[in-house]
Amino acid sequence: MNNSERNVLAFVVPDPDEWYRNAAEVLGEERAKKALKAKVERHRPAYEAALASGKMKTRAQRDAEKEAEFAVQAEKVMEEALIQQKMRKIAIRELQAEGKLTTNG
Amino acid sequence: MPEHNTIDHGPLIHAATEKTTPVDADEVGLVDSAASNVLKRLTWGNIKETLFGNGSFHAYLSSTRSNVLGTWTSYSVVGSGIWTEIVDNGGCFSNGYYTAQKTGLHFISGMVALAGLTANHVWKSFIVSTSNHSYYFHLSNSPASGDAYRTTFGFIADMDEGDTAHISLVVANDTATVDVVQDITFFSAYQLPE
Repeated sequence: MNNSERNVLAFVVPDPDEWYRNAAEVLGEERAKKALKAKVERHRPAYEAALASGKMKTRAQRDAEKEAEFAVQAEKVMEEALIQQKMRKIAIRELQAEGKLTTNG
Repeated sequence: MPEHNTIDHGPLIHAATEKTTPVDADEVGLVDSAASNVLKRLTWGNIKETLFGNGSFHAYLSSTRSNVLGTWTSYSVVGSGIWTEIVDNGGCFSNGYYTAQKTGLHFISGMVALAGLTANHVWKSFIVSTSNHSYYFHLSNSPASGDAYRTTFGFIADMDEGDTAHISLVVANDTATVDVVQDITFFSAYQLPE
């Protein structure tokens, strides 16, 4: 795999070398070479357009950004879950104080 | 009506004895558009191969992966000997990885079963990572302690020859007590006919 092919492949797949290693293992070396050429040819226009726009990011970079976004979403979900837990505790204490809820034992 | 000096094959074919279950060596006529529309023969075996011979598999997780999730750490459900294949046409599945035999659209489906969740495990991500894209399925809710989860997925993925697909999971917000459950966690894929 030359540098040009590697750059295009890195735009699409998380790990170009791992992609080729698996393709060669499953498809055989000859088919893997052809598949690499076809894949690079197919995705080169999108890669070059991204490069020209000055906003090219590799697949690994895009995945890392997505995961960071999801981490932020998850933080919010976890904060909301904590708030709900606290609200439930407050509601239970209030009901107990009003005599509307008794605990066993 | 047929034109002069042509033969109308319709009545001939219609009058022939019907065969209801073709075998691979059976043949049909074909007008080859890539070769000046000359008549050629096409075997039933090659029709099947073209439509469905591009690899397909169904596998299930054969041993529970214990305490692998719960602390934000991503876990890929891959590895030697952890999946059992029920079907693997074309040798397209190995150790949790599906490899596309041809470029095109592939239908990928499966189910992920988790066990051992605590009430703090409010975030769960199921990811099918293909070479071209990652497909995310998120669940956010508060499970009861010791709860189990099952989620199914199915979608069409754009894959190139040699591309792979595998399942990854993330469960967040507590200790690593979450298991991926054997037998009912499964994974399957095939290429859609072109």
